[in-house]
Amino acid sequence: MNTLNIGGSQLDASWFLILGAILFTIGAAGVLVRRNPLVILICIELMLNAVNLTLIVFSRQLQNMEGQLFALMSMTVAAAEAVVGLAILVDIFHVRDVEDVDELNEMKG
Amino acid sequence: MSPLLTVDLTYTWSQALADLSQIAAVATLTGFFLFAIVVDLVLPKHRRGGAVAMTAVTGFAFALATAAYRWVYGQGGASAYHGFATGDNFALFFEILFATLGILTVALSHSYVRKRGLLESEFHILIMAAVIGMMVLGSATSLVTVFLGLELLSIALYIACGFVRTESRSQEAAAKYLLVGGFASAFVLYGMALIYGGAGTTVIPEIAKRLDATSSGNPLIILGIVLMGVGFAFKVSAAPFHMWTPDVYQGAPLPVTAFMSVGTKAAAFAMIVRVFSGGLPHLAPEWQALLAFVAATSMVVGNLMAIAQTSLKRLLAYSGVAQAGYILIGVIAGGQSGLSAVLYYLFVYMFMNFGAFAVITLLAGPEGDRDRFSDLEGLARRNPVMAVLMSVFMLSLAGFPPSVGFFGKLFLFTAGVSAGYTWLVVLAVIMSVVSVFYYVRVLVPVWTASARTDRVPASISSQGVLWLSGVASVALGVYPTTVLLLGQLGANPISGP
Repeated sequence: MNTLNIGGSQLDASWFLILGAILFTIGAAGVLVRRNPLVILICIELMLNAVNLTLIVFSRQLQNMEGQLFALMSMTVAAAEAVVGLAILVDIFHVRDVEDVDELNEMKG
Repeated sequence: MSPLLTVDLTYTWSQALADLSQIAAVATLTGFFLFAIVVDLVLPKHRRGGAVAMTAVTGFAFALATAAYRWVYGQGGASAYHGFATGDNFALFFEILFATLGILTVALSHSYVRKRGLLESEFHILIMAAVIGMMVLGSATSLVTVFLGLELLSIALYIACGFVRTESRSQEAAAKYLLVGGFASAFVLYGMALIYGGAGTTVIPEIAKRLDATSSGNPLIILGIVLMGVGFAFKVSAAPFHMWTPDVYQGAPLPVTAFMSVGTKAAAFAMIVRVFSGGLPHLAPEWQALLAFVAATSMVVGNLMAIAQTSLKRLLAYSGVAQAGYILIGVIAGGQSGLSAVLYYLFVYMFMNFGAFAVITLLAGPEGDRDRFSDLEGLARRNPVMAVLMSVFMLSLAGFPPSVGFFGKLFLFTAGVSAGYTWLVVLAVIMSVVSVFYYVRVLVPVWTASARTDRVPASISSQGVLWLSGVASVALGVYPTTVLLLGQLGANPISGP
């Protein structure tokens, strides 16, 4: 089961895993490089979606439903996290305009 | 198109009841959680806070009683929901721990929330949600349920950290915790996905059966272990992934800091033990090397950074980083002695660390938290009981006999030595000596003469928290057998390396 049938053409499953890894890396790099808190939140979502893709490919490859179940759960969780995240950021934007996470420096770590 | 998996769709009532009884404590608390939301909706504004606090305490007490009943009458152990959850002694141990922590938190925060004019009912509901997440982590035996519990706990705490909406520090703490926590969760999730890909199942005991020592040649598994290890280290606030800890602890309102410092740490250690010791025992050399590095860095960084702090919250945050390092020694050592030492330490750490935060919480005024060293000045005269108890907590954290901190470290370190990690234990002992300096430094302003005479008032429930934590910090040290035995029974279900 190392090939997946996509629209009639056979594709090797590892391509999808590589795509997932690339998306995850882009997301992780975005979190580390970008400074706008909203963009960082988007990058975290990208990382979670990269994982969902990986989970679903494994699920097809292994002929096992647990991966799809896991992906559904993680989508729900990602939605909840996005809601809470946006609410927290909106709350901050009410008080001050934060375009750069480095401005969140009242406490120095 | 062939079905991906033939699923047995027969699910009888008796099966449903048997499954539900395995997670009885979680189910009980969830019931009270929903009830608390209804109470908050229907009662008039001025009566909501107290009623929800009572509901929360009752819920925690019932969950505690349920777990204790199942422990005593030995009904636990079976796997439920197709191996996704269980009610074994390990789960029950953590359910008892988290229910106790919930009661302590609600009792401590009641007067604090009133004093600062925060929304009380929402606060307790969030704490309940976080405790449910922690309990799920304790009883989860599948990577799916582990992830769900982790996120339930984290998302509730993101909100709780930013609970003082008028204070920019609290908001900053929430934003930092959210961004760092989300990043760490993504790492954990990717690691879990890779382990699933390598093992072909998410059920942890099944993973342990399918992966053996030869799996260490599989890059998927190794990458999965590393990614999960990094994510877990973020969650237990172990160095070098601890940067968020001092800022979040300092910005969050004090009862939340107290709750987090104990709760997330215990829950994350439950997760590490389940996944690493329980699920990957044959790949122990790989994750032990990773965790040994993290433990050594945590002990050095945490203890050295704590010396320079001027804020009590930040000092305790770095002390928490160091303590995570000590506890990791027990996880690395593994086996019956190592894991029971971990459970013992987590249980007693709750009392000593929560007690220390409780003292600082009572210093807070309506305008905000007071966590400078000077705020402790003359405490011996302003409230002698609190001064004595603060000394007990600090000496216990530093590891003076006959306190719980001493025995906790003793058990962890002996387990470490007998597992052959002598270098790590030597480092831990040296660093414990360093830690005495900053723990005792906290006590200097408490006991030196001062002109301040303003009393530090404490409500009855807060006094109860202080006394319980103080007595437990000494009594469980003088007589450590009971909890250690409970820890051994709790560690039994984990096969371990």
